Amino acid sequence: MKIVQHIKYTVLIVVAFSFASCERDAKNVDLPTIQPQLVVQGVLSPQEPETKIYVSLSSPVFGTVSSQDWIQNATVQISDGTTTVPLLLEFGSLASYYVADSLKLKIQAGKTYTLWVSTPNGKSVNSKCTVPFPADTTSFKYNWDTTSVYNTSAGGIERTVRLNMEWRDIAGGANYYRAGADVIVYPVSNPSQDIFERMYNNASSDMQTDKNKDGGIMARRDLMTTVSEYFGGQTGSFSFRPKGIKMYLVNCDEHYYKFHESANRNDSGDPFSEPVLVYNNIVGGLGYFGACNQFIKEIRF
Amino acid sequence: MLTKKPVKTFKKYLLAAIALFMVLLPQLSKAQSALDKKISYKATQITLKQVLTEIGEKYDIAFSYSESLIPVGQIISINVTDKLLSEVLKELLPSSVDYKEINGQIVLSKKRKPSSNKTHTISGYVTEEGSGEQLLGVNIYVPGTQLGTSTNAYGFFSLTLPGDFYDINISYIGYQTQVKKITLDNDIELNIKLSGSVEVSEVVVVADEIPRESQRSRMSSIDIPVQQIKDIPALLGEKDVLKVVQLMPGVQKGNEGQSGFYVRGGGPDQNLIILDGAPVYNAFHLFGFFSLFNGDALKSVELIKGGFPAQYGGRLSSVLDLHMKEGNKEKYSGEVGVGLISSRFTVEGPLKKNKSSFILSGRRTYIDALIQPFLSKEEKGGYYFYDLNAKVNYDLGKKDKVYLSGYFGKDRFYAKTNNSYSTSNYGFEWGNATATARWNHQYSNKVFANASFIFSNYRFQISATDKDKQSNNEFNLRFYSQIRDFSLKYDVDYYPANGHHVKVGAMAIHHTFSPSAVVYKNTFANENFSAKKHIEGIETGLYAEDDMRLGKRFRVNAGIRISNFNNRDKHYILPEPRLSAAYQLKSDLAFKSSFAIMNQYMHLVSNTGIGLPTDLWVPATSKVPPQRSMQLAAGFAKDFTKQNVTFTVEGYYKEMYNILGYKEGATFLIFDDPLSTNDYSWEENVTSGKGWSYGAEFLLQKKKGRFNGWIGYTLSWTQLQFDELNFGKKYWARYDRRHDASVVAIYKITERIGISATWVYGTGQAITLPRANYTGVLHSPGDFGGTVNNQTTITDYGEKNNFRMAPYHRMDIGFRFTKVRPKYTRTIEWSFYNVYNRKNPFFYYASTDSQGVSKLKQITLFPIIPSVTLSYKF
Repeated sequence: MKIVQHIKYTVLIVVAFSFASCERDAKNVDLPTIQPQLVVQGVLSPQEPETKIYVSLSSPVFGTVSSQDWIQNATVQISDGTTTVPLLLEFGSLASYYVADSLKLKIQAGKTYTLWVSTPNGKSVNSKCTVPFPADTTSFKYNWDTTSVYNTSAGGIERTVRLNMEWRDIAGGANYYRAGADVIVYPVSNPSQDIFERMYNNASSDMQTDKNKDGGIMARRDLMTTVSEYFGGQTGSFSFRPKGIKMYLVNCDEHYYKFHESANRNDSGDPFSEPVLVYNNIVGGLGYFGACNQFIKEIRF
Repeated sequence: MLTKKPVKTFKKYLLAAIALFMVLLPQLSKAQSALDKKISYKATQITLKQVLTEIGEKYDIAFSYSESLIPVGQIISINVTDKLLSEVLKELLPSSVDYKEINGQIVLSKKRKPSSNKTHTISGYVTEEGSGEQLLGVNIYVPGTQLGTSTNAYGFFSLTLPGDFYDINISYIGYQTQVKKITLDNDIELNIKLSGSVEVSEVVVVADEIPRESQRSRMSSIDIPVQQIKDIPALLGEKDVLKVVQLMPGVQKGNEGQSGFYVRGGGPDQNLIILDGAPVYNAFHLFGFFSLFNGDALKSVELIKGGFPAQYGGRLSSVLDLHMKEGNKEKYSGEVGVGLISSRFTVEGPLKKNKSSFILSGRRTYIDALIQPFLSKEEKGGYYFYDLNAKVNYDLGKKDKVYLSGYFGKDRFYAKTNNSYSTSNYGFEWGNATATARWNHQYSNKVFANASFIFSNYRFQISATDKDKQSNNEFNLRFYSQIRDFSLKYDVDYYPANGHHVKVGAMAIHHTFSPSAVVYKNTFANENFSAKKHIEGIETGLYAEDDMRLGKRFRVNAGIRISNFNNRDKHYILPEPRLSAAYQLKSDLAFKSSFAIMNQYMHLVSNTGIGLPTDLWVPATSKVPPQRSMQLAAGFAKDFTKQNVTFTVEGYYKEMYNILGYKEGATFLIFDDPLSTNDYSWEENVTSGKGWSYGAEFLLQKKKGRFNGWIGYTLSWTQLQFDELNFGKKYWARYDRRHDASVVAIYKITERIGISATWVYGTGQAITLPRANYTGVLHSPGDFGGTVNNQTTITDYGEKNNFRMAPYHRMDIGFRFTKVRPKYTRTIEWSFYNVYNRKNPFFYYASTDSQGVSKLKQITLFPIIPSVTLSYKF
């Protein structure tokens, strides 16, 4: 065959099969046929003024997309082993939830609570959690300082508040902590207002466990927040002052920890990152039923 | 008286005539000797006795021999035309047999046997006729016995036998078998040239093809003939060794069109790819779509999936051992090829005839050159990759040879702008460089040693420069990651006696890992910044193995490797026992089993698994321990010698410990903010876990003949478990394939036209697909009662890798048209990738249509793709 002929055929065939759009509906696959599932979420904590349980339905990714529905006709009950308390529906600004009468349901450290949720259309789920004891607050230590610099590119003074926190782990058994702080700032225009600015460090998460550190010193160090002190003049509308720090040290149970830890990383927005599976301890449904014991330390400058 | 005279005269004449007759008689009788008869005879696979009988009957020749003395039961094939019987007998008869013509009969007798009390060694090199290329893996054996050996990687062999007569067969796939008749009463040096030509020469007397696979102690290893790699149709006509490797049972491919491979449930990081002894860290061009091995420069390709010999170590799942050609020692030759996306060339030839030779082979793509005319003068950009293989060797004498080989390759994306205000350059490039210097020394006819000094470097770099022409301000940024190795290796082959091939050796590698390095300069902001992170590690290995024959039926390869790794914070020393054994059930059927422990002191940090250049090699540390595997395999190997077909079936079970996984949410796309790398710690993003893989593999392979190829099928299961992934529960690995099949067929229709086809099928990959969304309500500590403000959308995935992609299948077809001209051979090859246009999914995503219905959509990468390549061989 002559080379010219080969070239002719090449051109012809390349044109004939020029790369068409290769996007199409997926075929030959069994899509998971997922029905909407009951989603139950709630935290038990002795420090919370009331116990709230949120009940909703999940929205399957494939098929007709439905909007998030908070379920308002569910039967929600919590038992501490001796008493079973029904929870009552309340409406918040963004969602409805079920609340337990705090007089009837006391949340106490060391106690195990069982939750049942059912809906009139036959969906029924349950879960269990045990309220942890407080963290070792006697060992809780902290120190802080502030520095200010003139930011040339922004044209104003910035004050950085730094904080270190440490405490001793409760020896024996796995412990899950959530520790962090907010700087309390006020706008110069309204000194009585409290605005909470979360403090961060490079480790970014406020969740940690005592894995490989049982009974040892736990810490969160180099937490910082920068407050814009003098922008737009002494009394400018963008000028703020720090007036205190509110620290939290939460001893949480495994369910609380795992759900929050995974939910925070669930959507990184990076298509190349590994998908994060969100923890679930609701039997027959999705969500979490966890507990925590909170220690709050607030200082005012 | 007168009457008497004539009588006297007559008597005189009669006497003279008688005398002449007496003188000539022996000559006349000699001319009619049976040994001088010209014979034409053809038969295959018959006994020597039958051959003698049939020749005797056909040419009226009597053979006389005692069956108890002469081994006439030997099976042979013969094809002679007009050949003297004496010459035919020389080829035909065993070396222990002599022949004589006595009284018109050919009498066969036994020669006097050399003393068998002493052993002698036959040693030498096997090379290719016409090129002098050393051939590795050539079988040198005495048919019908357990005596034999094979050539090592440098074509050397040594065989020590008791004094005797031997018919030594030298046999190699694709080459004409040679028989050497030897009277072994002294050490013999035997250098053999094997002819690759398939033309049958005038006299061929060959014994049966020996069973190959069933007579090896080793299992789970596959030789892939380089010619088959060239014959198999390829994507865009780019012949690719790694894509052929993917067609073997036990090997899975990754994504569509990618060269990365997964062996027996192991990840692509667990494959040791070595080119002339040098490890190649990133074997891919163009984001994994092409591998960097240029088939023109390769001599041999061997894939080992299990039963690893002790000489190999450092990765868990496979060894792909590639050897470059040495270069033609006798004459200059070359090849040029032009394809749709790249062109290639190879030249080779003697530097000093029969002493020294070279080979140079290169390839470059030209997409960038083709698009240049369409770009504006101010803005230029493009992509290319190239690779270059070079090798020279020199014979320093009979016992010493030196080699120098190298590979250099690079991929580069670039963009340049140059206008009246500024100039800027952006580049994104990666490449490997390897260099190997080797010295072969033959200490004696039983001891062969090789010393190697090896350099290997892989570097990935992003660079950006900007220069303002008015202010002369400059901005420079360079980010790179790199791994650089210097290694020393010393390997000794020792052949103490027949049935033993001992290998011992030591190696040391000095690794320098530079996971990230940044150089940054900004004259406008007066900023200067440079940060480098180097981690050094030393990996050493000591090994000893003996490939031995125990009795008539049992072959064992037993070995041990002691591996050792040192870096700043940790020292590991781990033993790796290796054992393979074969039990010969019949002459062509063997049961084999093997056991191997492997350790891996380096990790590949990548969460894409597709050979992106951003993948980082990092060392084992105290936080991330070395990976370890234990593999057991057992199976049968059967040779069909007449058909030249091998059938193997193997079952395997593999456990892997401390394998690397990526924490959920981990990302390694660090180069979008190179300056952040200072804080980047890969150790935080990875997690160690366990893996299990088991399955069965079937391979029916025909390596030579007009019709050749293979059928492979794998049934396998691969599961992983990481404490930190999937809530600690076991899950299917992404490349878990229940069924994986491949069919490769190559057929030479005529001398000029060849056709080849491949078909592959694989169960879909296991991937994680979102199932549902819900609003998550997160707790906010200290914000008593205010939790409702802390809402987020949560995607529920169920379990990891909960979904199977559609099965993958595809057929490729290639046609080769070859024209042989006196000075060159021209080949035009047409190939059609994905000939029935199967829409295989590359990835899936969810998309919602205008009716609010969300559907799973797929992206298909390659529809049917035709291509043509043209090559000239001279």
